[in-house]
Parts: sequence; structure tokens; C-alpha cells
Amino acid sequence: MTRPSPAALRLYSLSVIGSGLGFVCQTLVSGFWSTAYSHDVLHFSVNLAFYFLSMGIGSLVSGRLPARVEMLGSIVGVQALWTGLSVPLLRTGTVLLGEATLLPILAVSVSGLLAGAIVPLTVRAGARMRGVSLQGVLFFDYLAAVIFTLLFTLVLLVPLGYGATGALTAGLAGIALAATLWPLRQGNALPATLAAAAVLLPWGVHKVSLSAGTALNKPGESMHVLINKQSHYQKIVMTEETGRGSFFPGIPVHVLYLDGFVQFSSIDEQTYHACIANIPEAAAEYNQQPAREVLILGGGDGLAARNLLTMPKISRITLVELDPAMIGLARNHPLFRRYNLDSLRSPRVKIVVADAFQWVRRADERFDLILVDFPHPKNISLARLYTAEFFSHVARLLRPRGFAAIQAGPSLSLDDPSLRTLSPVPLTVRETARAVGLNAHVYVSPRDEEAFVLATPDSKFDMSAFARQLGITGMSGMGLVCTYDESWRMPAGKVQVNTLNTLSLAGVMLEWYRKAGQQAFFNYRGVQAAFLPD
Amino acid sequence: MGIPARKLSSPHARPRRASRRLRSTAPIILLAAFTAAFSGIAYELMLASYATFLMGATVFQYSLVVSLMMASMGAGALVTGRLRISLLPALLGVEIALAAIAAVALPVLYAAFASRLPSQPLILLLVVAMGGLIGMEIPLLNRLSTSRDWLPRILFFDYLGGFVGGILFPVVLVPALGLFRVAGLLSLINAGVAVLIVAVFRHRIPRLESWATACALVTVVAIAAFAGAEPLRMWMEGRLFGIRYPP
Repeated sequence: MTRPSPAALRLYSLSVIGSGLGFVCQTLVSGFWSTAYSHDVLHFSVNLAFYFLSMGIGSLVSGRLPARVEMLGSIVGVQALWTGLSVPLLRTGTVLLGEATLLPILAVSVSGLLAGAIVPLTVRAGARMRGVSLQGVLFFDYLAAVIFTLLFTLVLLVPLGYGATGALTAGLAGIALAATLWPLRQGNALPATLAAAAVLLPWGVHKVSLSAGTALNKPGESMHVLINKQSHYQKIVMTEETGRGSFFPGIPVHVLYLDGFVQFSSIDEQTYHACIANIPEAAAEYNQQPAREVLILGGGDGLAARNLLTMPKISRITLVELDPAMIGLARNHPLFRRYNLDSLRSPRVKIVVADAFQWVRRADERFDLILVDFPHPKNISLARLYTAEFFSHVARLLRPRGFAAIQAGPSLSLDDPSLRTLSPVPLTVRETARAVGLNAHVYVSPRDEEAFVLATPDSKFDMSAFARQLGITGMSGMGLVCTYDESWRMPAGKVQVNTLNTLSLAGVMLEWYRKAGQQAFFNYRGVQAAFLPD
Repeated sequence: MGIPARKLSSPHARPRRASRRLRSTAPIILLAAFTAAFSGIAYELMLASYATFLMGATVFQYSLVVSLMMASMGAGALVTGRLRISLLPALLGVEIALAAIAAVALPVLYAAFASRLPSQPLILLLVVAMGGLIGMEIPLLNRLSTSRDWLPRILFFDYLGGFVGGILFPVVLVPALGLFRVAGLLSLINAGVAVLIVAVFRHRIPRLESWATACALVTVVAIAAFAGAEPLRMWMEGRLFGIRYPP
């Protein structure tokens, strides 16, 4: 390639800033939205798709625009401003309107429209310049996309959050734009003004949107946010609420939300954890192989471990949790310690910070009990932890007469008003466990309306006999805590085994949420400002 | 979005000097630009899904895969300026190579996933290889069109392909077909573009017989990859993870 002239370098510089900004904006908006709503792949793909479409339109429109440096500079200026403002606008729009899918699409489309004009304009403006070629412009633009995306979304995002990262990007881009155009002071008033605005405006708007978002909240009941922490993986919020639950109105209830979804509520977490921890332990006892070594996958709040630590026979608990921030809170925060009774500080508990799938792939120990306690399979990074591939590792790590208890999603089908039909989510989990040769059965927690799957490699284990002996076959006594009822109706339609190839369970889960949302049935607060990612 | 689309495709908007031959080859160039981005974004999402299967942390994996793919596309675009071989063989080589990689990518990724070896390097290698090849397509197609005024139109079809691919992949393709068959389908698409290029530009391709043979071969491989995707997947699931489907 021939050595480019200063004018060509200026063009390259503008197109690099413009393309980089487009990608950062797209990544921030997609990241913010998918973190807020947990439907990760769908949001990423759809946003990326609309980004490309609007780039195409921008590229077509660019034919009507004058191919001059001032034009390019103005486009880059608007891009910088938009990149800084998009997250605050999205936050405010979400708080006001709720989950409106058009908002992020609009945000990335504006960004794509501007970014799409950059390449053809640069090529046309540089038509008679030394060293400007299509492949050169494309190369530097793609390179800019990588460097900006890696720098801003991977390095700055975790310490700063989405809004501040956008504001910082806008400011730096404004400075770079001003520096590029400085030698040509005349005739560039518009780009200079935009550059100044990009430096000055977004930070303030971001700060205002953070506080205004909270002020705009209209919670239906009294709610105080006690913990509000953005970790590398999720938004962790703990609230104190009054008026929730029907047993003791007026008594404050502590609720933990991960990415806006209820994880536990102090009013009914006991029944939930009795189901996931005590039922498999009782099954092991019934099967005459009492549990000694236990593996907990997920469950970083320490509540399942608390239940198991009350049993002296259990000598060792290995807890594999993804998020170190969750472990930190569960070990150190007084509120968590009050509920988990310092379980994560026990010498019998070994904590491993790792992704569960990566960990089970390499693990070689054997366990008497495995508790699989992940959030609902609402996106691919969670649905992969409910696949036959994952369960085959769980089966491999179980002793021949050991038991796994798997959190298996909401128990009730929303199509049956009599509430006697099982939801398709636990049924899919059961069929998936059966596909890898496990003897698997669904049981439910009637208080939480959550379902679980009890699975064992022991083909002789008789679930009905075990449930009768424990007295959990009907809605009385222990059956009020956990129920195994063979008279439950099965949902209509064919149940698909969940494998990595399609991850069909994520679709089943989202369909359930969609129906639940229509019936105003389930407790999800993602749209309130405190639950949105920073 | 406020763009008079009809006007842009009207005869007035067309470059006056466009020759008759250019006009007859225009659909294949625009189609190739469309499929380049369609399969490009689908490959990107496929590899990002696998990276997420391995490590979780979707936002991180998606950003990493998408941006590394972009960098490789940029490098691919840059390489086209220095290619020693002529235009059409280069384009055919790219399409054939993409079809061949797509045909074997999923079984290889799945086997690596089942093993204890770290599969992250394999995913990143595929990202770089496929990104590099995809990045070569637009500059080559642009040169094939011989007119600079065509660039916005080629880019539009390119971006349109990205749009359609980005919507279809998660909403229709993966739920309906599964990743194994989607990879086979993408392989078929790339092989189909290669066959079309041979058919339309046959008078301008040097050593036509050998290129036609290569195209035929890769088409057979692609058909096998698509048709055999389901049996192969179920066999691998059974062998590697002991998965048995209820009758």
C-alpha cells in the first residue's frame, strides 16, 4: 500500500472513530438489554440484525450526502453523542414504558444508520487521495470495532457499568474528533460543537438518569433496596418488602433478586430449600446409603448448604458457584449470614468459584448427593446447565445409589385454571435426565410453586414407595412442604429432550414467562430502575 | 425509513456506463453479497453459542467472538489487495473453503466439547479462519462489479443479509433445525454460491474444469453434511454422552 497523505490519514481517523463508536453503542445497548431481561442470545442477535439493516440503509443514503470531511466529522459527532446518551435514554424509557423491545432496536438502528454511511463516504471522499482504498478502509474499520469493543465492553464495563462506559466512550471520541479536525479549523463548526457536546453532555445525563430512574419507580408496596450490586455476571438486589406473601402481612420480608428475578424470599425459602436439600438426603437414607459427600452446583447464597450442615453424617460439601460477588455477600453480609447461619464459613464446606459446566467436565470425585440449584433456564447460558450433556456429567459424578435433586422451574401449567397440571418445564427436565439413564421423578413445593427432579442412577429405587413412607403423597403434613403426587395431569404436547443442539428448554421457559406475564402472575421486577444493570 | 427505495433501484439511479454484461451479472453479485453476510452472521452466532456453552458469561463471549470475527474480516479484506491470483478463482476459493469448514465445524466442535481438552482455542481458530474468509468476499465482489458506484448497493445487500441472518438464526433456524443442521444448511448455501459463480462467469474463469470439479465435490460434501446432520448428531450424543431418546 502507498503511504497515505495527511488528508487520507484524517479520513481514516474519522472512519475508525465512527465505526468503533457504532460497535460500542451496539454492544452496550445489547449488553444492557440482555442483562436486564436475561434473554441473551435473542436480544444479541436481533439487535445485531437491526444494526446491520440500518447500516445498509445508511450506506444507501450516504450516496445523497456530500463526501466531505465536514460531513464525516458531523456524523461522527452525532454518533459520539448518541453512544453516550443511548444507555441513559434506554434506562429512562424502560422505567417509564416497561419492557418495550422497540427501545433497544431504535437505539441500535440510529447508531447503525450513522455508522453505515461512514465506509462509503470515506471511500468517496478519498477517491482521489493516495492510500485510500476500500479494503484499507474496511480493514481499519473492522480493527477499530475490535479494539473499541474489547477496550470498552470488556475492560471498562465491569468496574464502570453500561451508562458510565458509554459516557466515557463518548467523551474520548469527542476529544479524538476535535483533535482530528483541529488542523482544519475553518468550516467545521458543526463537528466541533458536536464534539464538545459529546464530551460535556452524556456524563450528566447518565447521572441524572440513574437517580431519576429510582424516583420514577412506582412500587405497588413498600420496598427498600438493601443491597444493590452489579457483578461481573448479574445484578444482585436484596430488598426489604412489606405486604408480600399471605401468611404474616406487615412483617418485613427479605427478597433476593438476580437480574430482576426472585431468587429467594425469606417468607418461603425454607420450603424451597427443604425440597432441594432434605428430600434427596431423605431418599439416600431410605436407599440405605446415607449421604456423606455432597456437591452443590449453584446455590451461592448458602441456604441449601445450611440445611445440609444440620445433618452430622454429612462430612464434606463442595459448593461450585460462578459469581464471586455472590459468595462474598453470602459470607460477609449480615443479612445473608442471618439466613444462611454462616454456612459458607463452615470448615465442612469447600467453595469453588467456577462455571459449573466447566467444573463438571473436569471433575473426577464421586458424590452421594448432588444438588443442582440454578436460576430458571431462561437463556442459553442457563439452559445449557439443564441439558442431557450436563446431566450425563452429573450422572457420572454420582455414586451408584446416590441422588441428584435438580431445581426444575415453575411447577404449574398456566393453561389449567384448576392448578392440577404440571408445567412443561419440569417435565422436560425429567425427560432430559431420563435420556441419560437416570431414574427421574418430578416433585413440587406447593408453597413456592417450584418443581424439582429427583434423579438417581439406581434403577431399582421406587419413588412412590419412598414418597409414601415419607408421607409426601398428599397435601397434608410433610406434603405441605414438598409433594409427590402421581395424580397430577401432564401438559399436552410432546416433550423434547433438552440438548445443546437446540436448547429447546429455553424456549419452553420463555413461553411460560410470556403466559405468566399476561396473567400478571409472577414476580418480576426487571423494569424497575433498581433492578436494571448500571 | 424515509428512503425512497424504488427510486434507488430505478434506472435513473443506475450508473449510466453500466455495461450489458454487468447488468446480467448484477443479481449474482448482490446475491453473493447477501449470502456472505447471512452466513457470516450465522457462523458468528453459532461460534458465540458454542463459546457460551463452554464458559457461560454470554455478554463476554458474544463481545469476544463478534469483535474477533470483525478483526479477522478486516484482515481478510486487507489481504484481497495483495492477492496474486485473479479475482474469480479467489472468490471461488473463498466460497469452497467456507462450505468445507461449515460442513465439518459442528461435529468437530461437539467432539472437542465432549473431551476434556480446552476447546476455547479451537473456537477462536474457527472464528479467525471463517472471519478472514468472509472478510474477503465484499472487496472481491466489489471488484467483480467493476464500478465504484455499486459499492453502496453491494453494502446494502451485505447488511440486509446480516439482518435476515441475525433474525432467522435464533428465532427460526436453531429452534427448527438445531445447530448441526444449520451448519449443514450454511455449508449448502456457500456451495450453492460457488456453483452459481461457476455457471454465470464460466467464460471468464481460468482452468474452468478443475474449479467446476472442486465445486461439485464441495456440493456433495455439503449435501452430505446437511442430510446426515441428524443421524450424525444422535450417534455422537449417544457415543459421547450416553444420550438415548425415548421411542
